[in-house]
Amino acid sequence: MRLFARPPRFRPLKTTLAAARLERTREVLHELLRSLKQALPILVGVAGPIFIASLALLAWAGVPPMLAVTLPWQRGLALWLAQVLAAAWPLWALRGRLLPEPWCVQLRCLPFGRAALWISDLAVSAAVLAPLAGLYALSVLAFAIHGPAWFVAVWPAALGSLALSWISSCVLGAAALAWQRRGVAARARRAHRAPAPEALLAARPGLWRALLWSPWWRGATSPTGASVAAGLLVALAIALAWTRGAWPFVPGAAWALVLAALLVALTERVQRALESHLATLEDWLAALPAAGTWRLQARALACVPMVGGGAIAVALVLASRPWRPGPLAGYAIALLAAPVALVSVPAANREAHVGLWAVSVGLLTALGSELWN
Amino acid sequence: MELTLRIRDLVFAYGARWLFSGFTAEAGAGITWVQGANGSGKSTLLRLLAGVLAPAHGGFELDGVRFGAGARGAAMAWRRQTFWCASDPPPTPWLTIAECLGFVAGSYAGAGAGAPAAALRAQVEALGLVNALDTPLRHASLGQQRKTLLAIALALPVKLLLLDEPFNALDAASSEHLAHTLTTRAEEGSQVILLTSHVDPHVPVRDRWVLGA
Repeated sequence: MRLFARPPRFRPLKTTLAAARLERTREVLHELLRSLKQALPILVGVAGPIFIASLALLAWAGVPPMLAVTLPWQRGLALWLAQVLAAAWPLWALRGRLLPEPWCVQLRCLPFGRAALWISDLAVSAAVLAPLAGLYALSVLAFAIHGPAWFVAVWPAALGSLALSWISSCVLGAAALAWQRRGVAARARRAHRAPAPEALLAARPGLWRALLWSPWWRGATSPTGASVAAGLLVALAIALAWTRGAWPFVPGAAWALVLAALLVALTERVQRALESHLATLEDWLAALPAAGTWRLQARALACVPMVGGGAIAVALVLASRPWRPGPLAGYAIALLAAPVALVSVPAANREAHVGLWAVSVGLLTALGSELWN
Repeated sequence: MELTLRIRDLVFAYGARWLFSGFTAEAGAGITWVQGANGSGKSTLLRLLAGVLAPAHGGFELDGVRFGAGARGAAMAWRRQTFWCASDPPPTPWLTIAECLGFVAGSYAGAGAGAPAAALRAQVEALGLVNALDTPLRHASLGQQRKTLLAIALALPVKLLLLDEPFNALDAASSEHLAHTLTTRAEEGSQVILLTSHVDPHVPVRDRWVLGA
């Protein structure tokens, strides 16, 4: 009798650095897709029409770099660079997962040349941005079929600009990965500049600084504090573009939707990161005579991105064109209430959370689109 | 009156697995060696005494302070007089050793039970941590991580010290220092020290509790 019906299958050993790193990239992207898959059915159910409309928007993904060649060079360059930066952002956001610290340490120890390291960074960057290349191709196809006048007039330059934009995003993404690789050495150098023991032992960091604030800036959370700050900067740019009416062809409701979705997503990510972070500390804190308000402090911290970003958005609205007080008051209240509602429900309750996202984003978009009407 | 830890009718189970059903014991000032095979409940007993786990029934009393079933988390008065040195490294890998020492010592100081700076400094020196103070715990060795918690444990003037396998991962000099300090503490009679260890700790033991026997 045979113990196995068929012999076990083994994957061939990955023999090059780029291949090994692409395998890791595949795992990270699969993990990401799995977490998205959990939320997808609820998203489709709650926000079906918006979801379908956003599918149609996918064909516009490649428009900014193509449109850039028709604009005066300063505005065209700004638009082109904005697209390059936005497209490279996933690499920045995922750098810790694509290149965890133990990998960085190993890469410094093993005899890999600079070229091999850069090639592997570029390969990972291109793999992560491959779906974007597909979206760009979809854009080109859609515009080639419909043939709008501006596209027909400049299509060779537009295609060149689009291709260059994708390549630049790949290079920028690879630079983010290289930064992650080299960060290990920089962190080690910093660790060598130690102050005197007396000064070190005299410091008494409180609960907020030691357990809630520092982890964000020392790579102990995912996303890191720098990623959240970058997200807030993007929110600020969106709020500026919206309130200044920078691009009149983009409807106000679209700006309000993007801003609300970004702020809700930031709150959600910070809450999830804080919950998993604090789960590891719970036992320890239960035994220490530290302040018993740490849960409340953690919830307050999770509200900071949305309340902070929202406060800036409201300030920008106040400084803009004549606004309507009723919708603005409602918008401000919704910006305060949404994060409080989100952090009151544990992030593990996915159904309730996705429902809260949909309600918060829908409400903020509706109120935001009424601010100037 | 002598300092005495009293455990009364302690009942605790992990799901359907009963570890304590009416456990009652007393430990006076000095060292009590908690013995038992793997899974007999040694670490769980320390976690219950630290307030990390809540007993289903029964409770503890030390120096007039009571704590036990029904209390949600350890009462502040109980936490102030207790320090739990777990067998795991500190769960704050992003902090430097100095920051971790400062945070824990500070949290007891905030509760009016802090470690004198000189005592902390003495333990840091004796355990050979001076040159590693600015090292993040994530880059420290297992021994250094364990020593960080032990430095606080030995510097804090708490009445109940819970040491879970304190000799694990220590170098010879640090083991010797730990044994010497515990011996001194036992002679002073100012602390109840509960210590779990699979091997003979080579300290003057006042009592032995054998769990799961």
